Amino acid sequence: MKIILLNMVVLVITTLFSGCKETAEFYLGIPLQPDIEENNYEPGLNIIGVLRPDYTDSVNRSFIYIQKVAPALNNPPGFEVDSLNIKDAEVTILNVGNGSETAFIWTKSDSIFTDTRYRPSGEFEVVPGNSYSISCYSEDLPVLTSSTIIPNEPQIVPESLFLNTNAVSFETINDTSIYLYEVFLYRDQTLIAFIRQVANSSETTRLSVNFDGNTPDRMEIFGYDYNISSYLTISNTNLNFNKYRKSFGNVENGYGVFGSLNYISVPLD
Amino acid sequence: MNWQKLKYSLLIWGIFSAPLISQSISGYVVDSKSHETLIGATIVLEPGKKATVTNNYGFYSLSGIKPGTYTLLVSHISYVTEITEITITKTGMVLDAIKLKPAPLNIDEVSIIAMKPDQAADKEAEISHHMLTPELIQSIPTARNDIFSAIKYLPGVDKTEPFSPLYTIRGGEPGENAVMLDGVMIYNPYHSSVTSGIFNSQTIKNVDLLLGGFGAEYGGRNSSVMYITTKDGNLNELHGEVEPSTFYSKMFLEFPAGKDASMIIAGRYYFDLPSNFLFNNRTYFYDYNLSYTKRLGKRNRISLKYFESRDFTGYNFNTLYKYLGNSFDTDVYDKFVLEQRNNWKNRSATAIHKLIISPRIYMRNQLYYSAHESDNYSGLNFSIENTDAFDEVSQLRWFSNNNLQSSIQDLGAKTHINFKISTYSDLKIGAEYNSYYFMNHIMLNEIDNGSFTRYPSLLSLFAEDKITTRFFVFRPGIRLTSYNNGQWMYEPRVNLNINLSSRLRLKFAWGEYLQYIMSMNTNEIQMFQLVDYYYPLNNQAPSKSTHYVAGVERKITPKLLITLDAYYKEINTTYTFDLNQEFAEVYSFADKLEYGKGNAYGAELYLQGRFKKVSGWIAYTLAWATRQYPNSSINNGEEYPYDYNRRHTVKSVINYQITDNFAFNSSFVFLSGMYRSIETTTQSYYSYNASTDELTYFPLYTSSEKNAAKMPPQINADFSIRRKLIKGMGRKLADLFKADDSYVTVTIKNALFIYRNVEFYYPGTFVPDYSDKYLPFGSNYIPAVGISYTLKF
Repeated sequence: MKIILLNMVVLVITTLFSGCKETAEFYLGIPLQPDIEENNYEPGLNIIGVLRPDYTDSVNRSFIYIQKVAPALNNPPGFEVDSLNIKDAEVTILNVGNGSETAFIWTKSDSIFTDTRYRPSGEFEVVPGNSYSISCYSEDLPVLTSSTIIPNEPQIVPESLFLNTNAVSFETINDTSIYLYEVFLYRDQTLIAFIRQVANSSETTRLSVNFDGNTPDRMEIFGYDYNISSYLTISNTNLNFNKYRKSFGNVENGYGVFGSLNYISVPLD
Repeated sequence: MNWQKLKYSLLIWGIFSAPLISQSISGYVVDSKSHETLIGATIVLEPGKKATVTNNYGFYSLSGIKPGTYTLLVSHISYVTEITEITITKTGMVLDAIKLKPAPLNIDEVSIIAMKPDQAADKEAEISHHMLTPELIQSIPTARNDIFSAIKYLPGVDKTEPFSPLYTIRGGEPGENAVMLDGVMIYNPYHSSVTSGIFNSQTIKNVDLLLGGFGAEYGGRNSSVMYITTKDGNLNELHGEVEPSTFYSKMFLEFPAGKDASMIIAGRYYFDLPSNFLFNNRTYFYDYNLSYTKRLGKRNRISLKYFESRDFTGYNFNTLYKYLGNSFDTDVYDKFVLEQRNNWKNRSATAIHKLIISPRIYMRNQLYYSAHESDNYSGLNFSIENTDAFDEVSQLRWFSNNNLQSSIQDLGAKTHINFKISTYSDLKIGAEYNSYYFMNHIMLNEIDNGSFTRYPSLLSLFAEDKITTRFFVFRPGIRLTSYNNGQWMYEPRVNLNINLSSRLRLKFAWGEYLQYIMSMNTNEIQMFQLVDYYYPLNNQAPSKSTHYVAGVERKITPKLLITLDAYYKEINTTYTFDLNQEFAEVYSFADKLEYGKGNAYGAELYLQGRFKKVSGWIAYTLAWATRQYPNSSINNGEEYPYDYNRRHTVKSVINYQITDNFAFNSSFVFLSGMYRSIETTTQSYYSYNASTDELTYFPLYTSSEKNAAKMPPQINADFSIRRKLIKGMGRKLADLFKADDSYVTVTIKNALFIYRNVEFYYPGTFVPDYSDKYLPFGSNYIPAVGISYTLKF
């Protein structure tokens, strides 16, 4: 018996301290790094592009924002969040229907828009039902492409809108170009409630927004195309560690999303 | 003859081959003081050396006895052997309960191992069977008297994630483990606050854990069975145990309740005082048991048992952030909200009737109700303005949350009959009917991912025959199930133990297992999956596993046993929820269900028993496990190493009884790293508010391949010293409360504190001086010393 116990003790100690170098090192807390069998990092652009038909001061509000992805480790010294931003990309939007191309250029914040994004370099019109595609290139990264079909304006089913003391409810007409709705309730230009809901694919979509306190005086209903709807409904964005999380996006040769939206504003007074 | 016919033929042969013979004796074996039934007592009839062992209900039956006068020897590890003369009549007999007196403490006999090695050969046909007692659980320094902590020191059993109470067995899913309390299936038997089980160990008589190849009596889960038997209560006098504490208190009382009746009242309460101070949070749990048992003559017993537990965990870290912000003079935490809320409730009620119909026939009938509700929310909302070198301002914002709600109700009735057909043959047949209610609702990032409510039913029948000879134990069995009144499905199972000598035997098991109620794997959308979200299959084939187990068992000494079990588990059909799928891919909640397959195989070497004053075990496990969901986006449909597989584990629990009143306990684990998906890419996730035209983003980390990295090994060693107080203040306090004994226990956790057990890695991309390293986060960096005082009545 003593011999068996002694042998087992020797076996354990040997395994821990000399048989396995990594284990011994770890015991002393030296490397503390994981053993990654395969690193499948693939460089590429990471964009969000939203085409929308509305304007601010006669300038179309469509925009593209471009970053790149980076490896999780081994970036150059001084690598910061800003280092992901791409400011010199060549971005072209093609109206597939009429073949017209519009360049989107890096536009700093100004009196019209308060933040810096890629915006149309000239006149640009977004027509519901039309198809648009994007081509995006920077540095030596692959040319990112994608396309979208502009959704129609969301339509409320007549007589379906109800406003009571704590909720607004209504139905939207079935529209196959819309995959996701967002509803914002405002009172005196202040947002008081919001919901996001997947559209029913084969019938009207019933939406109901609850609110506390002040009755809203205006409602905005947004309808999104497939691409943005898909991107916004990604569930795996939680605070998590070392869990399987695929890259976000549905564009080709890159990451991110290129899509479109349409909306209506409805007074509630 | 095809294979199917052969299987049925084997079963029929097993049931009816043994010859019928005449007289039998049967009855219960009980503790003489409390009248608690004793599991695992050995009954030997002389002359003739006919022997048997009491089952989980303390019941035994011996047959093939000619009329005459015999000597009955009844023994149990913790009791004085009882020798009685009996006269067998022509009609057989149901004997009065045999009362065993507790043995005086003998230093040479003290052992934390529940089953004497020399009894194991006769006791069960099961392979890979572990038996735990409250004494054993208590001897593990960091098990905190908790079953679910204790079983993780056994070979083949492992935790799933840090801070999660879920466990995995032999490469199985956590939701494939059945946990039964007195025969009632308990759903999510865990407390959220301290990652422990909801069962008060003071109420437990015995825990049987079957790791694989188990018999036809058990069904509904593919991986393992934990069968917990609770006490019935003391029939003669008041006994109990009280352990008051600042924020964790427990109590156990057992007492007579009228003629031939006994009761138990037990409860625990925990309040997380430190987090209340630090985070201004309110986190607590409680659980309580009520039990009433009435003996009606020597043939009937009726038990009524009720159990309830409640958990509320609420962590909102804002208070802590305010401290941090003030301490470090930063406003970075002003817009940082990290919140976790768990609200759980468990209830079970059961009525059990045990009846000795005749010396050969024992019957157990049971009605039960089991329910679980959980509502779990976690959310993060963090925003900060970032100004770059060109004074361009951008908004960094991370917003995500999830809310998962689950409700389960299981109303069931079951019966089984043990029929001692002959000296060689023990037939067990049974039936069970379950009527379920399931509701699940998931909200992810403000989007309703749908809900469902279902009311399935399950009818199960089983039959198995244990054929025992001097050379082998052979137990063929079959389980038949009809789910939702659908077609009958069958699960054949066979166990065979061959005695090569008095010290050496071989064990084999084969069986097919079906599961209709599966669990959603949510660990990719929750930081920790703390409960199983059960999902009843609807129009899919049941989840199916096939177990092949072979083992060898060798008695080194009469009290020291070594076993080697090799297993192969074919996971023919399994399911998971691919919750990462965007809605645009699947509209319906049920459509996120993905079919998969896999396997798990390995070997477990287990040395257990007693050597002089030392008892306990040392175990080594070698294991592999894989999964594949071919038609899903999970790892692009490719096979990958299973999430909860560890290649090597070494575990030991050692008790050294230094003197009658003084014991030293230790536990040690070495666990090689699990496979994890270490992030390899930095990618911003964008959020866009179309109404305000506000664009925000936050850099997150992604991994394109599932489980492509291996975590480092983990090592833990814990010690405790338990001393019975025979003088001084502690003893006086015991006398004041009229307690029988008092104990003080000193526990030293994480004695190997210089070893850093890494639980997570986070890329150091944006951390100065760490941009080329993963930042390790772990636990157990600092050793902890705890002292507790226990009164035993």
